[in-house]
Order: sequence, then C-alpha cells, then structure tokens
Amino acid sequence: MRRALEDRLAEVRGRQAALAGTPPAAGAGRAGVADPAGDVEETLRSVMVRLWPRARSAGRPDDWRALFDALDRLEAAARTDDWRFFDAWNNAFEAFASADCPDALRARAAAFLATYAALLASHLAALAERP
Amino acid sequence: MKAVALCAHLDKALAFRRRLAAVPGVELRLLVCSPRWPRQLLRIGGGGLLLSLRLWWRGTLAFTWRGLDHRRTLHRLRAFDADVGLHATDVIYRRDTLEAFRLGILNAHIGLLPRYRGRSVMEWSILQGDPAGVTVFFMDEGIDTGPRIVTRRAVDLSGCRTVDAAKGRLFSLDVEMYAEALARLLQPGFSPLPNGPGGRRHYVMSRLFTGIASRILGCDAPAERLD
Repeated sequence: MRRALEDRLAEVRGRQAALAGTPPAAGAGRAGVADPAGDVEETLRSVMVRLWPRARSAGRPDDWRALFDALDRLEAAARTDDWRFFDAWNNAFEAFASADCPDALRARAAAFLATYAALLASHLAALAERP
Repeated sequence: MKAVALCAHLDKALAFRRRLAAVPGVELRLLVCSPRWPRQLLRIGGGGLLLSLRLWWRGTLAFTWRGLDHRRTLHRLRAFDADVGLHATDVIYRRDTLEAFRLGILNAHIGLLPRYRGRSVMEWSILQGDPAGVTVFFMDEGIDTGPRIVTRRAVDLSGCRTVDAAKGRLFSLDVEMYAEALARLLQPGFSPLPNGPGGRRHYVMSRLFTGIASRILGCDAPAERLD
C-alpha cells in the first residue's frame, strides 16, 4: 500500500510540475466546504454515479470543474480510513491523467492536484504511524 | 416451488437447467432475454441446440428480445405464476418485474452483505482484509438493499492470482448458490437473514486500489464460512 501511494504521489507531483507556472485564475480555487456529515454519502454517490463518468467521457472543462468542486466537499471524508472517499479522488486523478488538460482548466486542475497530493501525503503519514 | 431463471445468455440458461433440474421440489423454467437470442441459439450448436429445442418444445425454455419490463414480457412472467425469479441478466429490475414473482427475484451478489453493497465489492473486501464471498438475497429497487438474505458463503480465493480470476471464481458459483438458496427456501420454517442497515455502498474501484487488491490477492486471501 505504502509503495503504491508513494508512486502515485510521485506521479501527481510530475503532473503538478507540468502545470507549474499556471497563474491562479479567478474562480479557480477550491470549493473547499465540507458537506455536513449526513450528506457525504450522497455527494460520493453523485461523484461516482454522475460527475466522474461524465467528466471521463465528455471531458468538457465544466464537467471537470463540477467534479473537482464535488471532490472538494469530500476532502475531509477522504482523509478518514473510509477509503471509498479517497478512492473517488484516485478515480478522478486517473481519468484526468489519461487525457491532456485543456488550457481553460489548468488553474483549477492545479488546485485539484495540490489537494490530491496532500491527501496522498496524509495517508502515507497515517500508514507510517501504523505498527 | 416454481422458479424462472432470467438469463441474458442461452448457455447460462442451460447451466441453470443442468444444476437445478436435480433440486427436489423445484420446477424450473428458463427465459432468455436478449435481442441476440437467435444468434445465441445458432452458435450453441450440437447437443446444446438439440437440448434447447427440446426444452422450448416442452415449454420449459422461452425467448424474448423485449425488455423484462415490457408489458408483453411482464404478461408472460405473470403467466408463469412463479414463486421465484433467478437473476442472470445485466439489467436493473423495476417494481413491476420484481412483483411478477410471488416471493421476488433472487440475486447472487459477489460480496458479503450487508457490509459490501454496490460495485467492486470483492476488491473492496480484499483491500480491507475481509472475507470475500457470495450472498443470495431478494432484490428490491435499491442497490443491494433487498432486506431478505437467503444464503451467503465466504469463498476461499487463495488459488486465484488475479482480480479477474477471483471474480471469475465468484461469478462461477452463481448457479450453485441459487441451488442452495432454493433448497433453503424449501425448508419448513426457513426464515431469511436480515440485510441490515450497517452496510455501505461501494463504487468502482480505482486502478490504484485495484492494483493493491491484486497484490494482496497474490499473497493471501481470508476465508471463513458464514452462516
């Protein structure tokens, strides 16, 4: 597990480097507001059933932004040991990394990658603490 | 007990016939629901073709290219006057279809309910160090939320070296598990296990986690019998 997460973190940092120099754009920041506890399940369902498949197949910047915004609402849950939430981020990254990033999305994608890298680092730290 | 196997493929229907014909007290019919059934019939060839024609002639095997929720298919299902449907299609059932059977439609789910609902549940079980297995339960309109579990079995996957092989092993048990479920339903005083509220819905697993599950599978896999 640890090695797989380290490899993924290296891959994410490579993607971040590729986007380096992208200036933050207005409105490109993270939505960042955690869903109330009762709603994270519904947000996860929405991400995995609707937003992620749509972004992956259509690939329009607006679809990606909607996905990234929903993922931001799952950030706190993705730091827990309920890995379903973290895996929504994994799935999003894998879909994102499989295609070229549109120019219109670069700033928002940079924010997504930064949060995803922080999540990976957080899980690696938790694994390191395990006996 | 009258049971109808709802199959997307003719070869699966014949597998039901081979296994369930031997279950005492079960009267089995087969319904192949696929727009490609004529091609399936031609491809099966030899003994399978002859057996299919014989079963069709006797009224045990039927075909439809319409959806299961089409009014004519529903009419046919109701005419079967069956107690139980056995799910072997790739569709989601609507209420009218579920209610065409006296007891409902059974699903052989490749995860241990109530904990593992949804998609990629075998991989999630492996990743979290839990036993993998198969649960047969009566479906409702939700995602693996049907409240009545008829039987479930943890399955030893230690001989499987890949996720695909492990999934193939679990899927291959469906007819056997349906046979076990029907035998249980025929037992006097049988009462189902509850599909409790403690489960979580799971979703398609990422390549990252699937790779980890695959590596875990290559090393070991937990197994124990649950009943």
